[in-house]
Amino acid sequence: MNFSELTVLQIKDLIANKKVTSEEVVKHFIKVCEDKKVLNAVVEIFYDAIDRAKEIDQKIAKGEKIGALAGVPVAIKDNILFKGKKMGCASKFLQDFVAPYTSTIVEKLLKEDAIIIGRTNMDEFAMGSSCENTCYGACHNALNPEYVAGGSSGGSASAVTGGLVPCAIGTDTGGSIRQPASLCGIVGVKPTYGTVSRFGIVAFASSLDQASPLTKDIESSLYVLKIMAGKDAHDGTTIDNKFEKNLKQKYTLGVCKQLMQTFKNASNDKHFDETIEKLKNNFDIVEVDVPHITNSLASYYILAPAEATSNLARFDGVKYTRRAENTKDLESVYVKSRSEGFGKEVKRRIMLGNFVLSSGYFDAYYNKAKKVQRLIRQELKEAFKACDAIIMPTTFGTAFKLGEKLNNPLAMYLEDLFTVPANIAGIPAISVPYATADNGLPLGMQFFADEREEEKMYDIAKTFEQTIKGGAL
Amino acid sequence: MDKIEHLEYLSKLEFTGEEKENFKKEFENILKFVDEIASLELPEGLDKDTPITLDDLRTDEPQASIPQEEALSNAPKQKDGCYLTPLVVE
Repeated sequence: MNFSELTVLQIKDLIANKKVTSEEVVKHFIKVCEDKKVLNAVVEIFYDAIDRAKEIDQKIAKGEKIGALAGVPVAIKDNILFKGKKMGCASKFLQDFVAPYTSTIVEKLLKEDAIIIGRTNMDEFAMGSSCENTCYGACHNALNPEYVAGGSSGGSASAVTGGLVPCAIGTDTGGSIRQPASLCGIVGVKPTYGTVSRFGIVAFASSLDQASPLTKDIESSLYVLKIMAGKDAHDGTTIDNKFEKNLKQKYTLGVCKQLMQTFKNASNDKHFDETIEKLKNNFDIVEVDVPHITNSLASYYILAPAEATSNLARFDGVKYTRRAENTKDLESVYVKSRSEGFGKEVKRRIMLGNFVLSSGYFDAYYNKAKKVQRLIRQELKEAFKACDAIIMPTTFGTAFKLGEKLNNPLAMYLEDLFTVPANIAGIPAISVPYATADNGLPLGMQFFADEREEEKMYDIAKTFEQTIKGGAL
Repeated sequence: MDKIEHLEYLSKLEFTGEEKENFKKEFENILKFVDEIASLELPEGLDKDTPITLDDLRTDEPQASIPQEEALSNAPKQKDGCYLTPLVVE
């Protein structure tokens, strides 16, 4: 049995029903991680996962109560803390950092008897859309190693699509789960802001960051997300998302006029239009107006760097692992440690963040972007009165070649154009694979739903998948 | 002070000459892009967006945290339970 082809739910059932042991499963995935090391997707394998798998197997053998993910291997992005394990944010700055405590999401996964099997590559401090800004070397797309895996959770996406793990956890600040999921042909989700605790995850832009699973299939995605979700005393922004089932027999999908215009101006891809035609059998399709949605990306590149510059001030050469040599005073400790430790993209965003927050620019940029955020949120709320979800491509096209956009930051930023509005508005969004482009690489379809409407969004994604596969409903 | 130098100062970063030249070009392009926000006309009375309100916060009572030793475990230099830095006060 090739476990790499199975979903989280299938593996969970096999283990729980004693068809296979967790040890066999974990050893299989460790072997695949070793064999596919060249992808640079998993940057460290936690070999003690085998011992933990044996413990879970014993629990099962003894007939003890087991958790909802008993024995299932899960990899975590390199910005998530797991006590006693290294965590580096793919940065030279943090190469010797050892987590002094465990993040809430890892606690929750462990409580359900999941096996944390390793950590995955990412863009440094989650800043990037290609998983090339990393001190471990670029991550390759498991579907074609000449192409990027997307980013910033590129390692998590490539690991799942390459069969290195059945599930990997990523973080999404502007599309960092959904864009790589789309480029790697898997399912990626960003829940309503506050659904998942950020405690023990290295902060990038705190008001936008959410963690979530990357999986092969829609059902496993929801299953793992529900385990990760919940109000947490350690994170004051968490909400009690009840995952209410406001399901319907037939859904209305909104096609956003402004986003589609932007898409068509830049892409000749016909897959989207063809797919919308097919969907008309099972969905009502309406056009929706979100006038300021195309301002989301510019707002994002003001708000996210502004928050990042504050969050990254803590990396000063005093508190965390790296201090530059030959420094004469405290100021030079700060400046030299930061200049040596941070990569190019991180420096770019720190500078941009300081610019938009600096005296004379704060009102024109930061305050204005916060108001635009409010406006976009209101406009989307209005749009959801006319539809259950908004449908759009996740990205302009498929994965691009390694190096292709590395020296053009603005082109790289545009990768997030369709994903960013969900972070700006705090609403849930999911990307599911739906077509293969001429270059043989997958395309992702994205759905936005109103806040706390995850159940409905997943149900729509499932109906969508059945429709495009031509299955009976 | 030149704008880039001022931002270097605020950011506690320093760039070499060549890095600075490249950075200036990239930065100008990025600024042109985000300028669409600065020049946008917005309706009156629009509040700033915020993910939480003060009502969402817990009461301000001390709670247990990780031990000092563990909190300091990643410090590059430490002494007597404190971070060690170069002399700050003469």
